[in-house]
Amino acid sequence: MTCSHCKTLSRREMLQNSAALATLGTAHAALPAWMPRLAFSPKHQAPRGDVLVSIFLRGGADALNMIVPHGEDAYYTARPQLAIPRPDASGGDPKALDLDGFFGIHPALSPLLPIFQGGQLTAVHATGSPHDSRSHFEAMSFMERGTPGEQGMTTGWIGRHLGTLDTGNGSPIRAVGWGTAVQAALRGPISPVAIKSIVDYHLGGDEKAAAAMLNSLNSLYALDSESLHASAEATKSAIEVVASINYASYIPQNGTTYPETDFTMALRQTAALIRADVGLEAACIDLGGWDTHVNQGGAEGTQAQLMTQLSEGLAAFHADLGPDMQKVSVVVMSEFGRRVEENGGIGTDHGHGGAMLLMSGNLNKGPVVANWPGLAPDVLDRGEDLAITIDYRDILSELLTSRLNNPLINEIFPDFTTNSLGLFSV
Amino acid sequence: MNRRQFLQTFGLATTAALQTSTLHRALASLPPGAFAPANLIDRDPIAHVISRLTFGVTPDLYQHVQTIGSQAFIEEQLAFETLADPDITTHLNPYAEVLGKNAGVLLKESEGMAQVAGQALLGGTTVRAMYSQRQLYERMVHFFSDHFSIYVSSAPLTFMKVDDDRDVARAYAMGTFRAILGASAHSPAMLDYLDNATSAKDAPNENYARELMELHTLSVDGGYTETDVKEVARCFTGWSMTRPRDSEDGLLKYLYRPRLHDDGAKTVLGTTIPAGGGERDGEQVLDLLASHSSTAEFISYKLVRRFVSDFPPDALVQACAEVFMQTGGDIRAVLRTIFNSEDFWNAPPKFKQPYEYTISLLRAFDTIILDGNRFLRNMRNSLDGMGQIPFHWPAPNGFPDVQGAWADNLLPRWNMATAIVGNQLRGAQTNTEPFLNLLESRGVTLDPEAVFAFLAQYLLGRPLTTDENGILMDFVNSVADTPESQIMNGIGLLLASPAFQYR
Repeated sequence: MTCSHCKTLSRREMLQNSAALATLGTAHAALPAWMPRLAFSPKHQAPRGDVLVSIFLRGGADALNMIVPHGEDAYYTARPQLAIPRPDASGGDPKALDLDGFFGIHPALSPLLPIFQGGQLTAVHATGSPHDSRSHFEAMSFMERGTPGEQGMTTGWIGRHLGTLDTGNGSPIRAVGWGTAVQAALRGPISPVAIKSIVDYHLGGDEKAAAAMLNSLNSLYALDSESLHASAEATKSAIEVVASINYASYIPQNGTTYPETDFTMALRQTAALIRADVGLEAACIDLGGWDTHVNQGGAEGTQAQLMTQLSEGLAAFHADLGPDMQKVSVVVMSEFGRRVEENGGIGTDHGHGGAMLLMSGNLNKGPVVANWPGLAPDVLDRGEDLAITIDYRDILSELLTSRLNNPLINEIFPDFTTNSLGLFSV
Repeated sequence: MNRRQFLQTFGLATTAALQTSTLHRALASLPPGAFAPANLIDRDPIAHVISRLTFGVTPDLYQHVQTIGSQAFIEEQLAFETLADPDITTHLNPYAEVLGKNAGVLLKESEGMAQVAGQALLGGTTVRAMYSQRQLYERMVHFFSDHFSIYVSSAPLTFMKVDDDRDVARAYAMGTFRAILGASAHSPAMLDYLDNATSAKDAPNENYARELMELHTLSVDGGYTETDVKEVARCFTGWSMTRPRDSEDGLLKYLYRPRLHDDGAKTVLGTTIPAGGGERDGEQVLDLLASHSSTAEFISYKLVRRFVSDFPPDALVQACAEVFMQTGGDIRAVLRTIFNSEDFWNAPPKFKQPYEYTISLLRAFDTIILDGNRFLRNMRNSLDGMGQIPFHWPAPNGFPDVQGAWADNLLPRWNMATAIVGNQLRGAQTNTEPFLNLLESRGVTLDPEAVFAFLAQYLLGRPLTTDENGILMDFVNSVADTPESQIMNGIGLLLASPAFQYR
């Protein structure tokens, strides 16, 4: 565990310089939001890789209480009320579950422990988007667009990935944004659809009239100068695809039961689409509520409940897919981590470095990967937040090249030079 | 086909109440050619000004604007206090009592009060959007509800939002920006939502301070630093609220708690706030922020985006910002600047947010609410599928106001259009009776093509193109045999079409 704080700083400087140059991103800035659909054409041909499932924890998840650095005294000093007790703490209260002698997981993440131990889950710590914004909206926007510090990019990193890769996959649902709006990461030249519920994803009325109406709607939308056409066409195709898979009778494998939440239903629906083999390449799922300024709770409480939702969902998805995890990569991220020191409201304010989770059948490294910078005040970012020693784009770049068969990192993360972490096997 | 057959097809009963609709009275008197053909470039300015200032065109309103002229209509809407709104009291009746109460009182009432209050918030906002004559004011209430967005996730925040809705957005939607900013800063709902109520000098909570500058005033690039966030948080320590059990009247209200306040000196945006200012520190911060040029630009940008285009013309934003600075943040003056601009009259189509689209559907057919609770339950379900239940955006930045955020979720809109035309929105009734009277009075036969032509001019402010008409007629011929069924299906397609997705 080396301190590479200095490396973070120099990288940030490099980014600030590059932002001044006329880049791919700024060139697109002048175009309307829908233009990239037309402006891109696939540049690389390769067979389809893993199905990517990208989960975004909205609100800035407090990574220090999820992947707990129980080997750090400074952690316990900074959080007298919120810290998760060491795995070997006395008493019967819930405590961290050890992973590697230094890091442990929050007790609410216990459903994930066997997956960590089985080598199909890795937490990368002290990572994130290097831009120093503490604004949710700016940080999310930079992270999902994949261009930290650079305004104006209208497409997302997953959208550019799908847009630059020709997998010969003609499926109309290469990408799904679960929910009522497509996530910024998915925006781009492909036409993702937002779906909240597969069973409700059809046009009302009798079947014959509905089919005719869909066709007529498409003809009308084709006339539209504001380019709603692509969206209408994607909607029609998605209706036809989901009608073909009979989701109502989908039975999760290996005795899995998914809890009944929007988040876990999105995972269940993702599993169903993967099983049905309808050409899904990327899915985005949101889990909100992580902005825990007050009453965050320690081993129990607000954040613990969110972690329960997250861990039960991921564990169910993992069990459901079973051997099929070999062709799936799940990545969990948040716009930033939270302040090391707890505040007066028994919560935490916006911070910087956080953690990412990777769940896949093809991971190479141990349960936790980090260039751990430490939590002593002199090594903290701005003197108060966890520093970022691994750029989140390093993780995603490796995912893209190793598991998604897309080597065009310069198209996806312009002006970014990757550092290899060896997280995935090819 | 006769009227009875037509009405049966729509599944409607004719009642005495329906026949007295103002729609008939208004449109029956329209002169021939009232809906003059226009295309998108040379559009009908009356339809344009109505669709931009209101939640949707109604025949009534069209007739009115045609009579008094667009300029007079704009001024009439800006001077909303003097605009008669006689029927709204009746529409609000089911919700008025709850909406008039203080959060502390609601908190003490029955178990199920959270649901009742939530229903009253949605009901109140919806009947006002549907029926109020003060349409621009209502749109500004929505604008500021989003600008000072509060996610009503559960009680007691739901109760506090009842006060916030009444005492912030509704009280100051057309006033000065400083007034609404101040009201929001004192609102228990905001103090609770962004955690300022518990912020104390030992370890101030930064949540409100940050969003106050990022979202409510300066905007993210408006010139503040992380140090300013911390200093502003110190200024607002002690801005809190009463606990109902503490006071005799049991009300939940703003309360300054001096013992929680950090009374040391602070520096905010380069201005020194001397020690010992107490509660006044926060007021001084609000003064600084409300009169800042970044705030003037940000509010102007958002208003131009709201009323003109997803890509606000810079010159107009600057002109509005100047007016904002000159008038001490007079929202009405900024709006007048927008409505008098060339950019407003030449504005590109603006994609309706899901809630606006839904209300415009309801207004187009003079929808009558028969069973408020049932209607709102169904509205809530439909709006949930579209991603826009009012007061339910899960972040403090408010619902997005650009097409890109909404355009990939068209299916629930299409289903809403067919539900309303098919009279499947339970608890409400699509009122086609006055529409039929109108067609009759205008000499339009109940022939599909003639009805569609008329309807397009009324709803879209322009005639159908040859292509649109062809698609529409092919569709109705393929799915229905009788003229009445063809008309019903065709109206559904027309309302789901791209043209009606825009204002």
